[in-house]
Amino acid sequence: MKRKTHLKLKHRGFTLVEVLLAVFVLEIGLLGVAGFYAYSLNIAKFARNETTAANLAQGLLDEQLSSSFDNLSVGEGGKTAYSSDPSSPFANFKKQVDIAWLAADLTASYTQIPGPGGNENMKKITVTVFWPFESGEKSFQMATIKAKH
Amino acid sequence: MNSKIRKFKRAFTLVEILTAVFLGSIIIIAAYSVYLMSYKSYQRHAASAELTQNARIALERMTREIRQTGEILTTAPTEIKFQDGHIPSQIQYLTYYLSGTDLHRKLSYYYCSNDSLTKVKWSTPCAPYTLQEEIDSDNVKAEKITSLQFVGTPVITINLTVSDGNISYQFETKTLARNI
Repeated sequence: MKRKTHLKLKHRGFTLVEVLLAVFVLEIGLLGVAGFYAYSLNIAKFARNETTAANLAQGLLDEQLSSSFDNLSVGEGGKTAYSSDPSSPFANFKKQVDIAWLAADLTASYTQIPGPGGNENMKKITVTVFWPFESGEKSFQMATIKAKH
Repeated sequence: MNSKIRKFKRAFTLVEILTAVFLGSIIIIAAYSVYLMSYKSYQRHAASAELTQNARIALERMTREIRQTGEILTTAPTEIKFQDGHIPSQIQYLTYYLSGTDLHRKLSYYYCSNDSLTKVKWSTPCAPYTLQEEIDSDNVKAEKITSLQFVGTPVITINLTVSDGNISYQFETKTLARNI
């Protein structure tokens, strides 16, 4: 009898709570590391998409610049698909082109103000490219000014 | 005496050592596989970043120089030749083309065979002499580009694919040759 108690004391194992706690703590650590992997993967993807979007935006800007000052129709453009072709590598991207009148003090407006101090001599072209990211959307914006001459 | 040694200098049993070695090796294997995964992920991201970098440089250089040009010579979809707009007084021509997966930038000029010192336009009638082209330089500007396409004028759409192993990315931009 005496010997038995002695053994019990010396060979005590972990309790269930202790084991659960240890596993829980380890799990949190491992999940943190795994989360970091997912995060870095997402960041890399975001960086690449941003480069793509910047190139597309610059292209859209140059396309707008190719038309004459008078042919740039002022107004808020709708958000449309960058490419109508679903197999395009840019099928996920959307574009929006806004053109506004621009006064000498650089205030943009969709309404034309004639005369001196008005905004008839410059147009501001703003291009925004959107792409889906996680559950939301990211965008890249570029703008330039076209002057009447 | 014998029982005393047994009591105070007890060693590990074979089963204990085996269990310890087994558990230890499981931990080491797990750690190594995490390390391997990290290393592979790192390599993949490094390759990916390098591809994006190459595409960015290629597009940046080409669009910048096409924007300045006064005249585009070729409409071949896979290469483009245009007048160097950087120094208009020196009539020089730039050609961007793919050789394998390398993007080359070739700088050349034309002269009439009777006067090799005067650079002339590509369309100069040199008769009775002949028009000669001299290559000034031809350098690789970007690597790992598997396809390159130029469409349209004066707004030129540039399509470019960069690939490395099983990673492949496509980029597109448009550039307006503003001085044409």
